[in-house]
Amino acid sequence: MFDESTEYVAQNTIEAVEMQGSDTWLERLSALSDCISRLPARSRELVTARYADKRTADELALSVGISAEAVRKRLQRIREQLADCIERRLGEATG
Amino acid sequence: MSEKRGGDDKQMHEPSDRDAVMDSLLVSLHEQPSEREQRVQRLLAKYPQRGDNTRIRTPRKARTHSHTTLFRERTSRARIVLALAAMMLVTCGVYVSLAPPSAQAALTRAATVLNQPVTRVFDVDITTQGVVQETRELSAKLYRQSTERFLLNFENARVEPCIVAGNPQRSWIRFGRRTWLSDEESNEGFPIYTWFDLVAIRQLQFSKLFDELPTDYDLRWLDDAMLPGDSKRLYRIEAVRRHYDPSMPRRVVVWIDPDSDVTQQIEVSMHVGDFSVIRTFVARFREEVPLDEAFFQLESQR
Repeated sequence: MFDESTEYVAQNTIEAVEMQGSDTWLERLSALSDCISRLPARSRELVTARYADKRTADELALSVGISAEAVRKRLQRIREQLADCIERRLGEATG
Repeated sequence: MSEKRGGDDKQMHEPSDRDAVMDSLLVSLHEQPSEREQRVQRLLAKYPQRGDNTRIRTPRKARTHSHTTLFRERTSRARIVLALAAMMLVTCGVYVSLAPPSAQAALTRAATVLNQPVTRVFDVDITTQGVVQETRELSAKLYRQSTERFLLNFENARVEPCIVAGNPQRSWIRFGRRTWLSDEESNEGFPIYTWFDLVAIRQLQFSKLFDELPTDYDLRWLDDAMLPGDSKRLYRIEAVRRHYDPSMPRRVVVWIDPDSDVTQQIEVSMHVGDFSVIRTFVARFREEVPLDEAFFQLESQR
């Protein structure tokens, strides 16, 4: 059986650019990398813990001392910031 | 762990498209090559071995091609019967000297080797020639399972990440939707040049391609050709299509190791755009890496 959540990630990865216009996936990844480096330290650490260290929201909640729900909301806000940042950067690039 | 991320958020919040895109971008950015490999292998393992065309959205050109192929296969069978009859007449009534190794025989032997039920991963270098100047060299991994299925994962193509697979019906499959938008797009989302690459990749369903070459193409061959940067002497078989068919390669060049009958390189020239333009796709098989056979067994038992 194929893991449904893996499929969710894979499908989103593949479909993501479609929703985002004509920029290439690689351009977005490049912009994202730069945007992460500009995040406040705490946000950056949270992103790293979540996506690089692959820790779950529950695990992060224990280490940070807040609820898992709060971790998810915080991550969601960070993703919003990153999305805004990427759009700005790509907008600048295309003039 | 990585699998939990998207699903975890999905359970708690129904993510907006924008949030889902960002989540995917973050996953992709932090994804290790080995994780990507695993994801591709999961997709491959997930796909049913038989009847796997039930979920295919086949593009228009591919559908046309499938019908053409069916007709061609019937015609091909008739030609084979006629050819066999002619061969019997010749062998019975006419003195025949020992025939030199022919291109057709080499292709048959190569197809036999390719028909061996192996599960393999090949590193593939893809270079394109023609009117379009690629900004970067393409590379990919070709995953082949048994004799019928393959899956090609572009590593740095404009479609990124794009996973395509072929099946016995010679139609092609793609997972997910389009990943690239351009004014040149066609075939339900793929730009024409990407579509061309996918068509060329479909030709990598080797044995079927090799079956067609002797019947629909004029064959020329060299038995001592060398690939650039390689000192080994190879068979080089050039096949030029007899009759114009924009859905089929105009020209195919196959390089075969005469000692092992293993195919080393395939070059496919296709018509693109208004069909007056020809573009070439070269796939060179650099390395053959045995897969962990247990992987597919484990995946199928999960």
